[in-house]
Amino acid sequence: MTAQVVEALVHAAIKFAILVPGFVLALAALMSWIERRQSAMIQDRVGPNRASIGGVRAWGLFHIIADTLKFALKENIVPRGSNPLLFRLAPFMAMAPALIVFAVMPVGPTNRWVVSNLDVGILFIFAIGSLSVYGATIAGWSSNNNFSLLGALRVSAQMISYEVSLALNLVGVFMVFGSINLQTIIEGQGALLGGVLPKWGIVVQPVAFFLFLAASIAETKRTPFDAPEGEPELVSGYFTEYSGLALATWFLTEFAAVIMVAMMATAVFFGGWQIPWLPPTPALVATWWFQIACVMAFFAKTLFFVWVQMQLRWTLLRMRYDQIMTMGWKYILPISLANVLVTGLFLLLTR
Amino acid sequence: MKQPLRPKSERAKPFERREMTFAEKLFYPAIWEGLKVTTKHLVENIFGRKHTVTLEYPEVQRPYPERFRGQHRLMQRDDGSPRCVACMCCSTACPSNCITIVAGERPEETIEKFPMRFEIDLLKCIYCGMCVEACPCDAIRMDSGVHPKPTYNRQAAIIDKEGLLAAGAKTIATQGGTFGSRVAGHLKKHI
Amino acid sequence: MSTVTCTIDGVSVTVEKGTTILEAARTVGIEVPHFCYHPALSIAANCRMCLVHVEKARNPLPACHATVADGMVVDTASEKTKHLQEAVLEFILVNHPVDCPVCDQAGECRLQDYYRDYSARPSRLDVPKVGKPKAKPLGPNVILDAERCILCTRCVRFTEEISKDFQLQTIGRGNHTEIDTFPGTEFDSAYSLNTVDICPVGALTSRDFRFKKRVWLLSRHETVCAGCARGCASFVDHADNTVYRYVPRYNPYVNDHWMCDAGRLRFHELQDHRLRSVMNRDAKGDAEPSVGETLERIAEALRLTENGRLGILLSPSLSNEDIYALRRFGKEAMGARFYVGGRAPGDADEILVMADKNANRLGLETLVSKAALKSLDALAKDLGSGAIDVLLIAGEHELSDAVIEAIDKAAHVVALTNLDAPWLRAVDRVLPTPQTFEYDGTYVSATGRVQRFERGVQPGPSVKPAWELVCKLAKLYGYADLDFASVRSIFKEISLGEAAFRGMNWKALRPFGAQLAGVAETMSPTIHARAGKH
Repeated sequence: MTAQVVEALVHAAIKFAILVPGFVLALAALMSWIERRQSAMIQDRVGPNRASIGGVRAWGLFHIIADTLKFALKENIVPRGSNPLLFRLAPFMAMAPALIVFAVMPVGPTNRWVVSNLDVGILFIFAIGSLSVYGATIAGWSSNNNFSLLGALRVSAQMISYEVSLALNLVGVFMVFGSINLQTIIEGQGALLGGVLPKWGIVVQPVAFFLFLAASIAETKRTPFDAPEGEPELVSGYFTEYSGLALATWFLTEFAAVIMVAMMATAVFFGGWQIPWLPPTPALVATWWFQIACVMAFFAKTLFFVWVQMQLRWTLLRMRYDQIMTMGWKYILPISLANVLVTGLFLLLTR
Repeated sequence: MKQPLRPKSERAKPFERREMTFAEKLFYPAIWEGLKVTTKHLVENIFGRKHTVTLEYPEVQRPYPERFRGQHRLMQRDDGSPRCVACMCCSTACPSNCITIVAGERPEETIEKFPMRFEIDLLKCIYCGMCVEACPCDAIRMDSGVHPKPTYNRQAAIIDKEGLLAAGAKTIATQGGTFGSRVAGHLKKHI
Repeated sequence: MSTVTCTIDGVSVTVEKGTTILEAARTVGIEVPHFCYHPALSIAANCRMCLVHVEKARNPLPACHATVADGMVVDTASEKTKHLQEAVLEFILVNHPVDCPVCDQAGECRLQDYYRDYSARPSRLDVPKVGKPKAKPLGPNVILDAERCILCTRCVRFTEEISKDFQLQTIGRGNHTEIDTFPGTEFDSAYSLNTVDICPVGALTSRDFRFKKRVWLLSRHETVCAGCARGCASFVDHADNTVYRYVPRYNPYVNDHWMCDAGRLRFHELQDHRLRSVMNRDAKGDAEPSVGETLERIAEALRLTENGRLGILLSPSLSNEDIYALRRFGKEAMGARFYVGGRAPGDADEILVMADKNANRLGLETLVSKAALKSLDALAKDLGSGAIDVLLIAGEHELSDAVIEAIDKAAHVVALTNLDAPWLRAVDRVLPTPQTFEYDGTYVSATGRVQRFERGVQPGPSVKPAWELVCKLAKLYGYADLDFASVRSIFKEISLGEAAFRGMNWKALRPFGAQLAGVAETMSPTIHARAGKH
């Protein structure tokens, strides 16, 4: 018994180590470059392309190293009058939940491809993910800075508001697939509707997908919902006072959240690791190449949604704070509720 | 103070708020349009930099206009000596007094006056080009296209005769203008 | 003397009979262009630049040579005459090398000015110009560029009529005519540089001034040459606080248009060997002692000196104002004894140079009576006998070794002087004073002409004129009566109090100065020489 627990723990630790530092954090680092290059291209600029090693520029990829070095070499300033313990702790309080949620994300067809295939899967994500609001709020409060505090207030209000809509959006999907286990939901999306259309979440729940996208971007606090760090009025919001590697941690947290949203959208609405029109029969699932292909499909879809979020961030304008609140409470929430109602009725009638 | 009354037609018209249509209220169509624009730019700029106008400066440089006034240079005669005869026209024309010339005599030459020292203080120079206009001998030019380089001390910003000559070249312009050049041609034939 | 009346450019002119058209035109402000005409030289009428049309005359007449007649109608400015001048100028320029950029005359060249005024068009010459020697030294001071020469013969006439040494003449014929000296001789006249002044083009240039500065960069101030007792009126041309040349200034009572070479070049000595800093034998440290503190020390020493035991050695090179201030302080406050030193006598000639090399001997002898001035021998004797405790030496002196030794024995020797000299080693305190071209003042020439000179260049911060130093010293000593604010106020007091200067006005000293009362007015010796020439 004990040996089995230890073995399971070791397995989980290895898988987590491969998924999170190997994929999520690497992608997050890459995103710091992608975001600048992509925005530059959208705005007809060139973007960072000058960092080089021995004359090799590699499209500016070395800016990641340069930035990391720069962050590492900067002084970690703790402002006077702040609560130094909480100030130092806050980035980690935000970072830890953002990374832990990846534990329940099934990236491949079998249990081998998920760190921990929890039955409450998606609820675990909400439960842990909502903890990161503490990090931001404590950061803002402990900075002893009016701008930081206002940013922190906005963060907590915004995240709590959209948390509700986010969960309600997914309720429709749960009802359709009859489970909150992510692996079950993905497996359910392998069927074909009428033998033609893959039974993906976006097909059965289109309204929920678009609302989910809006709500989840609001959760990541990125444009158009980045009022908490609105530069014109709040300098940099709740992380105004951070510098050096602590500041880098905030960026990493944000990028990790972006990846999480992309994975959620992939898993719930775009068939997860499913390859369209290639149903995962047990025989096929048993082969290693099919498993690899599925994982690749999952990551490809994830990258696509990362790209979509970037593109949205550089397309849209920042909304005013009251607009964000109005949208969350007065539109997204009622529509989500209506969506749940309609889905329920439909399921009741077609049973 | 009261604003003067203006006819109604000239007054600023209040902005009329129009009720948004349902499609507009949805935002998503507008977002879709926006995404189309940004994606078009993204794709076109990644594959071919269609819209990018940035000049990547040190490697790529905008060509200067022909009459750009850069760092000065002193032109040379056929034997490499300066064409300058130390007439001081340039230093007289100079509005910032940046040219220092000390004239000397060389009895062996046809043109016996020459500059022993010819120094330009680039910190004083305002690059107006008056010296070039004033020069009767096509000796000083500002057509090098070179920007003055920053220096660590004031002394280094003074270029001396040797430096100016090194940047110069032999010129075929004949002293004395159009008529003079005809005379010079004759002289060469006869001597 | 009968007069004639004529019309020049529509202006009626009445002049003495025998006046030339050019001079008659000048009286009404009409300038006829000319090269060879010079008011102090005989008329050659060889440049033809002054040709003017005269009504009823068959040919154009040279204005410098033709005399006016009653009812003559002269035209110097019409299109017709202008064409004439343009044509003459084109001929003059036929063989001119047009090397203005290297020519020192550029900026004060008549050829350049007239070219701009009367022609301003490119040469039509299509054949090679005649080549002639360039930069050929004619003598120690003058260099000839024969190509630039327009053969006006002003220089030849100068050596014949003014310096009377007949050193220059024209040689060769036609196109190949040149100015030159007789083979084997040099143009070494003591007045050779005057030919550079009168040369209307850049043919004759001064070896000293050559290539040093373009003339348009020079500033000009009126001064008086302090080289000898003649006191030639001159201009000091300077730039960047440096004197570049002396040029004679017309003064018919003193020097006419001329000046000797030695006087012109003396500024080099004054500039190179001048004193700039205060020296104090008992000064401590490396810092230069200030004028104020040095004066205070002197005043202290004077306070301890009994009446009559101060000696003042005056130089006849000091300005009248310096001498007056020194005299008043010495006589009224200290009961001082006055001695006279100065520069040693030198060569003289019959033209301008005088044997007495001090600019203001007459002024000194007028302001401090000749009887009160004792000789250097008397000074040595008084110093030897211990009759003097403190000696104040003012101005420029050349002293013999015996006198220097005697001075060395005095308890306290103070010098207010401008030039470095051997006797300074016997001095305890030195306060530098300005050169003639560095301050304002007046000199009295040997012929009794009182002339003003003005400050051209700025002396250093410690250099103060002697009168100012004496006024400050008097104040520190406790003699408040001597309190002059400017040279002008001293001169005013002189002109009110001194019989010889009575009635003189500082402003009216320009341009030709005033004559000292009791000395007969004389004209410049060169004017005597040319009297009745034409």
